[in-house]
Amino acid sequence: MLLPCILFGLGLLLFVVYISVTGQAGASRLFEAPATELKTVQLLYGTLPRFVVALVAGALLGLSTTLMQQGLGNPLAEPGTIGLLSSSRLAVACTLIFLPGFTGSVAVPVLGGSLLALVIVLGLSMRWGLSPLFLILHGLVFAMLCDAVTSMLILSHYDELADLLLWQSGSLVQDNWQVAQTLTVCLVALTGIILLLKKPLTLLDLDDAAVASLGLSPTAARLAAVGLAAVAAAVVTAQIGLLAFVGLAGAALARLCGARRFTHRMALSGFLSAALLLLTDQSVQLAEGLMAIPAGTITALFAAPVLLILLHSGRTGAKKGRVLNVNVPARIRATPGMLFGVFVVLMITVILSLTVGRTPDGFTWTTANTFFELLPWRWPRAAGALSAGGMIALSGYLMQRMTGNPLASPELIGVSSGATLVMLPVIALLPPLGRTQTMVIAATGALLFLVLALRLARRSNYAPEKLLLTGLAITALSGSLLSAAIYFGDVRVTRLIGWLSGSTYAVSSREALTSLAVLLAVLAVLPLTRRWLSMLPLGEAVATSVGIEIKRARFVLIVLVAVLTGTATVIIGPVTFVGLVVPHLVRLMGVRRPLAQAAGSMLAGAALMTASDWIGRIIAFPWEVPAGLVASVVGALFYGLTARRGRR
Amino acid sequence: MRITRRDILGAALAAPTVMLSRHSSYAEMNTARMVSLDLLITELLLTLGEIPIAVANIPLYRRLVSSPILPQGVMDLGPLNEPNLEYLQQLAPGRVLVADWQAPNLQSLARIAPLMPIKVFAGKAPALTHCETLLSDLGKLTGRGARAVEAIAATHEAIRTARSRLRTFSRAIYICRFSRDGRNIALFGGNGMLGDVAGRTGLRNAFSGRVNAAGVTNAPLSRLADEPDAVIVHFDRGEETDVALKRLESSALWLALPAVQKGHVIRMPVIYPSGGLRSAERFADQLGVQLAALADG
Repeated sequence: MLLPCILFGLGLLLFVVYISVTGQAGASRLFEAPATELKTVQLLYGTLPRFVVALVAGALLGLSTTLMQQGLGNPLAEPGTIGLLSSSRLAVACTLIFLPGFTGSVAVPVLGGSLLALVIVLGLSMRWGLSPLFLILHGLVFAMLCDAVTSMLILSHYDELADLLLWQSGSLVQDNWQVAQTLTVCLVALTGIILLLKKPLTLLDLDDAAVASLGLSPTAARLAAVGLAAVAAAVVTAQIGLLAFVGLAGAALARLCGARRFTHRMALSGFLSAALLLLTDQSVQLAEGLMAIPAGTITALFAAPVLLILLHSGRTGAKKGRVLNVNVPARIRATPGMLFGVFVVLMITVILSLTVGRTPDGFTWTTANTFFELLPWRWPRAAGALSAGGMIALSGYLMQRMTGNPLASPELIGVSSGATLVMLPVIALLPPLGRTQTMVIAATGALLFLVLALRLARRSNYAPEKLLLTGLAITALSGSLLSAAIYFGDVRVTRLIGWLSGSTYAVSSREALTSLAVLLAVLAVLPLTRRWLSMLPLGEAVATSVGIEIKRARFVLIVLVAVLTGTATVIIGPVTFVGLVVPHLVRLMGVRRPLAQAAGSMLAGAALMTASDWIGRIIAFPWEVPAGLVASVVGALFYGLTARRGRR
Repeated sequence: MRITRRDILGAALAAPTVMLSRHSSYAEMNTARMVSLDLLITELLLTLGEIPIAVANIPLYRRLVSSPILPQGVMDLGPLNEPNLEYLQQLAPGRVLVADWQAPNLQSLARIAPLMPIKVFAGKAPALTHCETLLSDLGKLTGRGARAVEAIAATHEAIRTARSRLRTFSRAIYICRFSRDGRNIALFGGNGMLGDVAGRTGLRNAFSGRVNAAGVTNAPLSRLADEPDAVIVHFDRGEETDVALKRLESSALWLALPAVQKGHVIRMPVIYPSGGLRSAERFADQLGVQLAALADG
């Protein structure tokens, strides 16, 4: 209980400093002074509600995240995991662009978007008995689909979306008590419901069979947990905006502080999130005269270091997460045929992307003459997309195999976030650099963070839980700086968003060859890891008992993942979708054995990215859509088809 | 809308291209075959009467900058950051002008035509001075030095006129844009184009905080209470501004601001904050005309 008290105390201290510095404390004759005097109005309708909103919103997010983690049985889950936040973000962007005269508050599109996400994700997962794995997968795919469309809208309508950028930065500025009231009512209601449902929610700690044997439907309990979490998060988002990482930090800190029982974790994460948000917001309020920074953008700056310190202070009592069953029961197909099919698709996309283009007059096949004229433009892009797609999908597969967590994406190793962290100031602050210099800097950043992540995880034998939480903290840190840059930036941030979307536009022939070489080199050593890959997902005990040296196996795999992700990120930017979803897609198609899955992921990732690059180049002529965004959309559709058929 | 000599010239130059077919002949008449990939550079080129054969993101230019008018028949190359290369190669440009921040991503363009990076953000220098230098340089490059001198003189003249109109105007001003939520605003100032022009017309900017390279920053509404007597100048972005004002009418803080109570809130047509001399000229005109009414109030 000490940590939340310290954080809360600091927040309160800053609040007192703020009102005395701005002279609002002088307005203490609150009830005598006329309510029109400026300082009184500022205190009464601005500063005070803001204080309350920070606490209540923080608590709601903390509770919501813990509920979501309880429902999905995954310590990386948060309300955004089931696509809620991304879909509301898309709804807000669409409203701003297509209904500029819409006078209602932003709450309408946010709640609409959240509802849509809930209906789609829950609806699709119903047939699987709301299994956590499918809730997470459907949610992630849907979220990334929405995010891709939103990024595209930002890239093409940058100037009209100032309000979206403001909303997604999560500003707690208030001008009346309405938000504070709504959120307080919600918090009271949520607490009441949680207390009523304490039993079933607690039982979700057990696995489904055990829950069912106690006479409780695991599906119903999970539905309650996920639904409540979603409603709470949607209300906060609708009233305030996106407050990234607040809830996740609170929930993770609560675990690290040693809270085990569900109610205990619930209460502690609520307090911690509230205190964290209060501290963040009061700090930015003090700095407002110099520069207005919305709390949402920099919560991670406060929370991530606390998380990292606790995580590595050695006194962690983090409960080992349940190992999720990564193997989906589905029909098994003849693997060689499957792999050959994917390979043929890859070849077809390569040929298409080299020969078909578009001009103002329409689509054109290149003739023999123009082919060699256009080839220098086309082959580096195609080769870059192919190798980057292959590398990211492969590293995503390795990462999920090593951690046994279907939510583990290669970014969580911290390498791409490291590259992003270093790239940010380079793009935003320094005088423009050449592409080669930029790449060297990004690679240095990636390497730096790899070393950091390895050092931090070494003591725990590179245990996946710590690795993932460390990666999460670093990713949140870079995400926070990123949204701050987007919030403050000028038109140059579109270049940043372009890079983040996974664009093959500027890939040179030398880079394309380098990345192909790296991919081939990793493929050459991959067969040596076959035994590790088949045993590690079974857990540490099993793997050790069959004679695997866990520490070395994990170390080698981490380095492989880092080399793959780092190279791909430096060349075309982070492409989360491919790393996270393609391995699942391959498994859903029925490819099961470790090496076959690795090869399948690699081929499918390569095919997806090559096709996306080609589609992005011709679909909206003369506009080019970044390949990473197209990959999310195409991949999501394909995933939808596969997941529907998988159950037969 | 006021029609200036420059608009008519622009239209006259555009006329032949509108009459001719959309693709071919216009580009052939144009000997310099310039291509511009940045809004400010496009504005400056058009100010000089040098019409590029293609620019990036035409809809964005028309929406944000709008004047000088971009003639029909100029080709659209797509996004600012990733113009369509194969298309550009077909157009066979004579020279490609890009902003310096775009350049690293566009190295491969040099294979098509000489690539010329231009430092569009002023950095420490006042934005207007920086734009004048850019315009003179572009004037030399295109052989239209005389037009550059003319345009600079016209802008100075507009500023002088505004300055004399505002001689008796003693208040400070906030230059801002309201967000739809009615709780946040974008404030303009510093050395950015809008802040610079306001300063040159003799106005004092009530906001002296940090701004980004484009001379703008986000802030909560309560920033306007820092100097309660200042006049609030805000940009009209159509429906977006209507929504914001409606929201503000129910805000206690907004109603408590002296400027609001006295009606010292001025709505004016939006100006591209990173614009060039033509934008500066329009802004100076608007300030002079609209603020003069409050001079003695």
